[in-house]
Amino acid sequence: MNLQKISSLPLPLAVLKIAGETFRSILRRKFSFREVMVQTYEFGVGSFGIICLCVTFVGIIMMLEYSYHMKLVIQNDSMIPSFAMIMLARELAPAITALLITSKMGASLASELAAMKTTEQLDAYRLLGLNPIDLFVSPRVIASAVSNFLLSMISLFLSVVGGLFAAVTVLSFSTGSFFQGLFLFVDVWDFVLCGTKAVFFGASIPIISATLGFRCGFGAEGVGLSTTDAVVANSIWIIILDFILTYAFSPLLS
Amino acid sequence: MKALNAGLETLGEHIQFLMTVLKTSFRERFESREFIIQLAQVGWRSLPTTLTAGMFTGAIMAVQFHLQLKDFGAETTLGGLATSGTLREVGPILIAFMLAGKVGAFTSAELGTMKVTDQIEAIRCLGVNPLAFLVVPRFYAVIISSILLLAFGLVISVTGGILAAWASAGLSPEQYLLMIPQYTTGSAVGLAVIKSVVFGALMGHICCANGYWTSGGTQGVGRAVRTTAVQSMVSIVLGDFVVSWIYNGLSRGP
Repeated sequence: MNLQKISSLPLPLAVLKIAGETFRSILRRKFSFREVMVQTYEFGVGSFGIICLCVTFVGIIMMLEYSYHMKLVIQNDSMIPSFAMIMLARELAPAITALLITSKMGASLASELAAMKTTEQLDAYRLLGLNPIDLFVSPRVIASAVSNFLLSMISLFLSVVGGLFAAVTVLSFSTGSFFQGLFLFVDVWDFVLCGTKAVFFGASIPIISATLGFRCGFGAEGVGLSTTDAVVANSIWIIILDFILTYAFSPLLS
Repeated sequence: MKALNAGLETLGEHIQFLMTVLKTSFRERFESREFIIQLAQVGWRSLPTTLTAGMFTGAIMAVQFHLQLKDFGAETTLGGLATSGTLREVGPILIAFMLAGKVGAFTSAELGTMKVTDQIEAIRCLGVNPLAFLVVPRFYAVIISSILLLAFGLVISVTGGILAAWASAGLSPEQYLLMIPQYTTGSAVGLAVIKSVVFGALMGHICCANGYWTSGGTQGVGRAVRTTAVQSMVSIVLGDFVVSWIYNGLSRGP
């Protein structure tokens, strides 16, 4: 891997180059399995609390907002849980989980690699014949994809629990009528879309963060800037990819 | 228990910092020149991010609402419902997430770099209060520019919705726009404005506090950026919940 070349390429090309090298390293099994386990623990457990907290509240709000909107068009309360559940499964559970993981783990990977580059540790690794991509990027790509998938499923569950709470306390649903309404329109494809989004978001977070970490300029200023850029580039990419996947899946969804 | 303690401690530190900043801003001379420079810089730098975020948020909401309304033959109401849904709920939260990465993280990286390279101490040595000179103008500049950017992003999201409705549902822009006044009430616009103000204030405070508290050299700057991103996202979700809950309670009447 040539660090100077990565710094001089335009950002999309540099990301593609790092992505290509990461997949080559994954296919050739050049990463340590132990590191994958450690990183899965870091990604999963490290962001678990925050994600649980945020997503439960998002579930409550979505339930309230959907009841407001659907009452405008359809004078039928019983379908509201299902609409809210579809929206959470298709959009908000994967997107919000991925955005939170970006701000926590994506930013920390970028700042770690950027600090390594300014203190010339990356050059030292290359001098020893070790490829930083095998060491830092490819284990995290797998770990992040796996843990993002699991966390998205957990957050989908928790947001539905939040929705149940809002429906029972504010919208005078009974628990039974909530669950009766919950699966009216929900389809297997909604869960497939949720899982696909989570895996794609998860795999792209470490690649983009690592590219920006490798491109870091020197000094404290460089580290701050590349961490900021990693958060921004990741969030923008997540929302664009979200739209692309929604659009691609829309013929399959009801 | 330990996590709860740490959380409460952080909250207390934030409140103390807020009190200090407010006190300084009333006691010392307001640096209006610095304020205007920051306002222009922060606003200008974040325009592309806001544009992309707003565009795609609107488009995603339009595609999703289209899929759900299709079954009821209520496709013509798409414009009104998608706009109302974006303005009231999903728009502010997603665009604020992007801005937390862009505006918040950038400002805290800048302040953090100044802190670890001892520039803040140097300013103090010159007999100038660094809080009044550096933090107070940034604090207000970030708050005001986030409010303006959020509002701008929400306006752009309507454009995104129009494009997506035209591409996926075959609705002409006129049909889309005609429905907006029917379903997007004044209360939706009011809620969007209130949320913009609340999120802007949260972001402005959190990024200045974390930037000012930075310690520990190069890695400290990375850590400050990360903490800013995480804290702003969590507080945005919680703030969103509180505002929606109160607003819904008020608009429903006692």
